[in-house]
Amino acid sequence: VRRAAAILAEGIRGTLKHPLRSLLTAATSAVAIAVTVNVISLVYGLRDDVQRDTRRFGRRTVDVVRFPVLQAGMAWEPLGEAQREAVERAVEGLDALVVPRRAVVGRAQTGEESLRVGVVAAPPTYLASIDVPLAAGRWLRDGDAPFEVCVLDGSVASLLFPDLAPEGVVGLEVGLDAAGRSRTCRVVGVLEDPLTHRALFESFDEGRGARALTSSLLSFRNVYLPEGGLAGDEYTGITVTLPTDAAVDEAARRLRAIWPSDPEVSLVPRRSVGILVRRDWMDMLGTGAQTSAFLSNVVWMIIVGVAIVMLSTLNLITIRERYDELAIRRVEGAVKRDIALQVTAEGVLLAFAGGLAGLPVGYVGAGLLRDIVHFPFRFDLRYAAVATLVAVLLGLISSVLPARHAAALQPVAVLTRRRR
Amino acid sequence: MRVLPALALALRPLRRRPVRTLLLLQGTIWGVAVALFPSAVIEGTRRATLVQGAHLGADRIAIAPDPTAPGAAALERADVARVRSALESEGVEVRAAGAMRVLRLYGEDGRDGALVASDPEVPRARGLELARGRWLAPGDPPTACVLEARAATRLAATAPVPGSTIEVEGEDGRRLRLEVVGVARPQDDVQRRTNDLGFDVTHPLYDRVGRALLLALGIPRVEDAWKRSDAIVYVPLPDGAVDWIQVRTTPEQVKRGAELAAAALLEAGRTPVVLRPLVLPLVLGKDIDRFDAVRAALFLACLVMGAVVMANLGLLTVLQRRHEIAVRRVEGATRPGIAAQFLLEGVLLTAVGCALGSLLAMGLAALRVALEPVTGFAWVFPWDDALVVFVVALVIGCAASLLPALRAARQQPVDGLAGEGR
Repeated sequence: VRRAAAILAEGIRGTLKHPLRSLLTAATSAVAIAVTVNVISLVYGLRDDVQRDTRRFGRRTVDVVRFPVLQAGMAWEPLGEAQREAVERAVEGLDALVVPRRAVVGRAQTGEESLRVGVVAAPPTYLASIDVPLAAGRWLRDGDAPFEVCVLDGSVASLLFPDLAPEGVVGLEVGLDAAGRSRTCRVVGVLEDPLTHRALFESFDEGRGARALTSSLLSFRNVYLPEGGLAGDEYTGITVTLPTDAAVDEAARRLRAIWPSDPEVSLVPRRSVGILVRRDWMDMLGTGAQTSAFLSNVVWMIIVGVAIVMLSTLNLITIRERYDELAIRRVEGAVKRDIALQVTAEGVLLAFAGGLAGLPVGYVGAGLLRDIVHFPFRFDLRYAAVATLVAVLLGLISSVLPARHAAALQPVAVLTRRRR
Repeated sequence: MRVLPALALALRPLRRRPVRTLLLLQGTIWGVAVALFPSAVIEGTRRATLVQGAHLGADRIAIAPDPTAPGAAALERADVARVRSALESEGVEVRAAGAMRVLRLYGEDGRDGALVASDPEVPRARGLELARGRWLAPGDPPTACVLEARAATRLAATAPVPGSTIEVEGEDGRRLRLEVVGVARPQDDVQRRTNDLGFDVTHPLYDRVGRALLLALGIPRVEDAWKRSDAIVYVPLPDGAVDWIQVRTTPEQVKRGAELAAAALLEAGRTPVVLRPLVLPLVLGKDIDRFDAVRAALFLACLVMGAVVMANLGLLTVLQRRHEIAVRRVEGATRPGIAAQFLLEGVLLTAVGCALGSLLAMGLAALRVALEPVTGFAWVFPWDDALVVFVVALVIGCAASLLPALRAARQQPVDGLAGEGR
């Protein structure tokens, strides 16, 4: 311990001996760490949010749905009461909740606002197929008149009534044009918006117009009506909610025996009705978010790499300037390892100090960028800890070559040359 | 100080220790590369889209009935007028618009072509050009047809000319005799690879990543190999339900046009799926420009790192060259002259970094374009942005050299010579 303390003290002395040079070296590390913490807090914050949001879409739910496949001459398969009964039979014994739904694209309006929405008519049990809580009021219940009441998604409520909190929207009336008829319904409840970064995603959602009805239901821009609110023999989907992951697998297997999937493209069959396991879809989105986050690491890795290369080269040059001082230390009794450790300690100390200084710089930079780009930079102690660790590694790696160089010097040769 | 010797002196570190100098220039090199690489791709793609938008399919909208909406009213021929009117009333130019219905596909998924009943403007709305004869016209008999180029070569040993007769398999499988009124020019590779969403369907990344991503985002899988077969036989369209409405506008207006078309059809009780190039309008739009702030932040971060290291190196250099500075002072060099030499050195090294950074940026841009499954991605050297980037880099490089320059200028000749003598 005493030896380590002595080396550390020597390292501190070494850095303080050339304050300007040390300050500039630490500044390089500070910039690299500011960028690192910035990028990490952006990409991992966003990834965590996306993964959390998608989990609320009903992980243990299997959908029998009309699939978004546009193919000339593809046969139209029925999805009505007979198919609902077939689903009930197929999942018998799995403790499954089977809920059929009808949906159309419609328009919701108040006196001033008008909005394109998905209109979903389903029994009260539909809420169990998603994990989205109520923000205000209540969900639909048995006995609700089909044409009188509705529940709004949080995003619909905030767009139709921009000045009101969800509680204020409950009890108000909304005009609804859907399936060729207009009606007015009273809002009895408002769901929370499960999409944390809706504004950000919608600003880049170029595929909005191309999205098919069944897919857009999970955009959570819907108005929910009691069952019977939309007429017709056909369902848009039949939702099967299950208690365990094993039951999900078993239900999917049984249902795929009725509606087989194209083995090459497991997500989408080349027929109009198919099976969607929401868990698989969510995992796919989660993996996408994970991959994007992983790839985004390249940005800070380049910056840190550049810093390592430059600091390493600079430290090598600096070491030559300190040959005399290091040779004298060797003569005084320091062994090669002490010299190497001293140089390493100096590099790590400077990078660490710079890294600590870089954290608040990164924080301020994140705030500025958040205002300009509207990206959800989220500062978290974990990210700060990772960035600090990166700073230490930066110092360590950029000191390896200079330390080896310094340890290899021959004190006699250095001091003799100096005398000459 | 004479210019050439001064320049030679300033470039001495690069000549003497090129590897070391290049390593120390990494900050400038990567800073410039980070700043220029996105501009190169965005600017290149914008230009390509504006110049060859029609060729790339960036000006087209394809509308189909939503396959997941049961009970929704089917699209009808009359909806074309509805869409046209909605677009034109908002100032969106409609270059061609029409509806079509697929009567029969030939080969697997229509890879060998299709028999399509269409409005006269559909081939033009799909970006086709006429090679011989004329397009279909209102009043043409049901037996008139226009052929895409590969259909012409597939259906006849010698390319059919207007007035000749061909035989094809009709909707019900029976042979149909049709009279050719026109033949379209062959579509090139780019057109035959690009789908309605603007993706290159032959690109490996589209197949492995793009398709799955689009599906996960709820965008339908479109089995439309027939559209790219260049072997469609167009016959006149009777009234009734249609499979597709095709609209051609301008690349700048395609996004707005698609929104207006969707709204007009929803208003009429239809539930459409509106396909258009997804990425090119995003590049043409201004939304993407807000990311300039991120690019500028990374550029400045790299440059500041580079500048700090350069300043540090400069301080060391002053120390190493104190004898040389002293000799030059004794020979008559003034303090400003000495300072200028160090400043020039910093500026020249930054310029070298800028040049290398530009090369790296273009390499990254070329790689990015090669990896992009969207048709129309291209890169150019962004001269306007480069000018700004170079000026900022040179100013920062100059500032980084200021500290060593002042220290060199302050040095007393006696100290330098005495130090060396000891």
